Amino acid sequence: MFGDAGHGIILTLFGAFMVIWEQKLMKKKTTNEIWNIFFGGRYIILLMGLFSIYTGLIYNDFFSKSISVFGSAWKNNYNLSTIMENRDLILDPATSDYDQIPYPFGLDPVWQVAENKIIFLNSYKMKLSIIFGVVHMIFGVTLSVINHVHFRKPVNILLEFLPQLIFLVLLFGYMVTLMFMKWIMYAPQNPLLTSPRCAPSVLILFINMMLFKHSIPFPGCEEYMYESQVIKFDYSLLFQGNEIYKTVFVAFFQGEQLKSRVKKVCSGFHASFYPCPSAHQERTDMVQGVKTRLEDLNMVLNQTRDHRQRVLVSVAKELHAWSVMVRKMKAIYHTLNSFNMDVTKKCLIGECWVPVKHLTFVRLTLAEGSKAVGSSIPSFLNVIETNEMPPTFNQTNRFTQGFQNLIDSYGIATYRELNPGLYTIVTFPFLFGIMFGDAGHGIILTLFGAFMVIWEQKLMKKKTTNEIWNIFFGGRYIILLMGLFSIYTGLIYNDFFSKSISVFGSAWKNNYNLSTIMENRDLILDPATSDYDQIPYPFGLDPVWQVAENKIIFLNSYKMKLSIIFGVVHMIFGVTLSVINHVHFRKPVNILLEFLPQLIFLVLLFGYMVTLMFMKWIMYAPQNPLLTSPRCAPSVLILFINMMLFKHSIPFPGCEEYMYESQHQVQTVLVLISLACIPVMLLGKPIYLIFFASKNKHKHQQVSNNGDLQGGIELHSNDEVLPSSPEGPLTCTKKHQVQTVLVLISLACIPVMLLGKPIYLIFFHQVQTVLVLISLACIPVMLLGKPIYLIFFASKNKHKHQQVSNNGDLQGGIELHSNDEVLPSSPEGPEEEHEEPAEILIHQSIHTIEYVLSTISHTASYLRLWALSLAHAQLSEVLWNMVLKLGLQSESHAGAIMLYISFALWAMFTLAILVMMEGLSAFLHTLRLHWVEFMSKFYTGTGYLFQPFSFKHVLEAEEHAAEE
Amino acid sequence: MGASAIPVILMTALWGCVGIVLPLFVPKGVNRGILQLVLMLTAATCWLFWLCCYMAQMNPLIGPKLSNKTLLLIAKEWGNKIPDL
Repeated sequence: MFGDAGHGIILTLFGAFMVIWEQKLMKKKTTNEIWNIFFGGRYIILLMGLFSIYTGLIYNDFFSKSISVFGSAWKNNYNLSTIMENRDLILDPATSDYDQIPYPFGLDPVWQVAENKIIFLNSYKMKLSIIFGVVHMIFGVTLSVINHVHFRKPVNILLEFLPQLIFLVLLFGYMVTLMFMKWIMYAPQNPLLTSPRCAPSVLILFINMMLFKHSIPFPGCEEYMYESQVIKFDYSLLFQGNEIYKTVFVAFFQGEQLKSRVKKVCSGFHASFYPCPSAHQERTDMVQGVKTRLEDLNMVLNQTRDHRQRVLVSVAKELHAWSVMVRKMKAIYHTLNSFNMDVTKKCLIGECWVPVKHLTFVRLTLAEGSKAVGSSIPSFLNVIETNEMPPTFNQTNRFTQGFQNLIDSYGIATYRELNPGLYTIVTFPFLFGIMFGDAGHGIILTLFGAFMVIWEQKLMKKKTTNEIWNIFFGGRYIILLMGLFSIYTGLIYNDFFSKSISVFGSAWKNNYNLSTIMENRDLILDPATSDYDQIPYPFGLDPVWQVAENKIIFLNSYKMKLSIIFGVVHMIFGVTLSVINHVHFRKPVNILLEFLPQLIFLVLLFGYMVTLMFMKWIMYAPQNPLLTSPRCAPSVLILFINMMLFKHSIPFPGCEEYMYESQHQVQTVLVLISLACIPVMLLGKPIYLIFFASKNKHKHQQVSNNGDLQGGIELHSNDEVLPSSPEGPLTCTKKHQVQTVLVLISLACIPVMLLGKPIYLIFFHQVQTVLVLISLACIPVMLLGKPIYLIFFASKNKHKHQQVSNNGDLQGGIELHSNDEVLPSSPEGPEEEHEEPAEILIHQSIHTIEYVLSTISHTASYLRLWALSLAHAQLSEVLWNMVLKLGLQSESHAGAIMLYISFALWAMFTLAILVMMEGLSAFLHTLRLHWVEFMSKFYTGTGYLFQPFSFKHVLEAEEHAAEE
Repeated sequence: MGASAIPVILMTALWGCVGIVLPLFVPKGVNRGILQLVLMLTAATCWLFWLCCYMAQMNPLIGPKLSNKTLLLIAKEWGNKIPDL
């Protein structure tokens, strides 16, 4: 596969380098994993290189160029004029163009420069790979003999190896033979039958052979390479039930000697012998006897057939019920098999999950069951406490099922985690609607959804295996809602099959006189004059924009802002939802140290950007004085970027850079607060966990030892690392602590790097800002300081207490052990407690970095709302203009017919491309927005599904399996 | 501020009705919570969507650029008479 001598040489050199300096390199131990992998495989690399060189030489490929060592076997016999006249010339192998003796080693260099190189190489390399593949496989099968011999399984040789080998050799080995035959038999200078023209494709030959088909050869050619090829494999047709045709023949011979010889010949052909008496009478008797026997046999056969028919007919009536019953029984016994035997061996105990809501129902059913069976011992149900995580069971109905499926395909909710499926019911079709905003297309979608919903019952009964239909049907309520929301968004966009509807009358008026209109191709209505009513169109976009030439400029600005606004709102919603999870799982710390900084970060940066957008819409009007006129309206995006980078841009003369006074200071404050949130997100939780964990341990120790164990010394070793105990465990803790401190320091550097330059810059700019800054710097202190202090103080206090209560014997080593070994006996504590500090920190830093970076990318990701809605509107407009307009605009009578055709085309493309394709892409983008941008804010989805025992599921699964 | 009070009040009232009043009258049952949530979210999103559209046009920074053909058509179809015609 790597056949290129040049690349092979590089590989060889690299391998050789590692092999030659093996000793030296081995001594240098590195932790670089990639290098270790390479070094471990140095001999493999060397050999791979060497073989690549050889294959490269055979392929005659040296950095994709050929080397002509022996001189090409092909010669050009065209004269100059022919060469000049034709762009491409083909050398004919039948003439003297070809030496008739191939290039001795490797591919002829002429192929490297040939235009039809690929055709030749494909044929060559395909055959090559098949040949080596078959040889490799045959080799593999043959090797199995050695195993069989060694394990003394001669049966396997006969019944496994031989059939395998025969199968492989007769089919694929034969194909390889055909390939070689093709190479040898067909030559350009041969007569027609074996000329290149008649050369059959080995692949087609092989396929025909497998399917017992024939293909029609070129006139004058033969289909097969050699005669009587067709009888091959006919024997494999002897399937059961197929009739076997036999040829009856009578052999006449003279003498005993010949008889034995004939018999031998006959038995050689596997013929059966039947005696033939010499007397006529005996022969007729015999015929008679055979006839009566035949009749008897026929009678027996007929009776058997009748009987079988009757039995089968009666069985056919019951068969379905039986198979259902068998399946049910199988499922029941399969479940019963996983029950445990009681200690007394008198009853069976099964453990399973039951929704709390259904407990009484299950109890009732059990009582009923035992009554029906009539057994003296009733079945009973006990609720047991367990540490195992229960499965997730979201009760759904027909309406919510589709939405729940969308969530479940991302990940099953962790037990008792907030289920985003509920919110998806609205947000999903709504975001879809923003992208798919066209009332006309929305109506089509709604009708399709409504059709499926209204005839739900009927359609559900008809079970089809058509997967596409099943998918659509499963999401019928989603489609219905998506359609409804698309109609609404389409009305707001004022888009109805790319046309606008003017219900309230446009707010824009034309005040140009006729001569001006006639003289100018394009005219712009001025919003500052009476061209504009000063009161916007009340519902949706003004219809004038649909016909405006600069529609795109206005729509882009509007839809981009729209998507950012909805994106930010969506994300803030997602972050807020995480509170519910934190409250439910009793993690108040997470609210303070995770949710709050996240929310502040999001709201202060991106929420602020949204505010700026609204401010721009409200503040800047065409009739205002210059400062708030359209000319001075700043770009929100540039304002935002400048805010993040602490940069300035130069406004137009007479304008101001900012929208309101002291905006710069406010923005700086906002950015700094949100930056200050990063260290809180990063360090808050790990620090809390680390200290909380140690606190917990102390508590635990206090409980486990009655106060006379060595808390005091243990405390020492924990806090300042005892110098006098060089045991393993101690150094281990020391290492942990050093690691933790290092990670902490390096993490602390990040805010310094982030804030350092801005602080310096601001210092230079304004003294005021510095004051704000200082107060800002207090915020993380306020946030972190108290919890840390409390935790610290609390644990110290405890230590003091312990020191007082015990006199401090000596057993630091043991203490440390129990410290290190992650207490197994605290089932109620959260799992993170047991993680190593460094791990917590790394985990948290990944989480934080992901959150901070992804907030930006996620916000940008919501721009897909704008992009898709723009694309959708443009596509439908183009379709209208290119197709339907053709029919509408023609003035002759032929236009009537044209309109039919163009409408049919337009309707077809509208359905296929705009509704189906665009709908699908909008659906996928909406799905992504929910999975990635929305759910990543609060959803972990590490649960597993509750699978109740249900006959319906069992039967469906069986049917499904049977179909496949 | 080029806003007219009537459409703003009307639309806000409409969606407020859907989002606040209607949820109170949802029939009791298993799905009451779901229906309430659906109504409220629908109202919130749809109202915001309408509002964005309204505000974007409230103070237009640019005016529509119309070709003379379109202007003449508008004059004919929307009854927007050209002054000197």
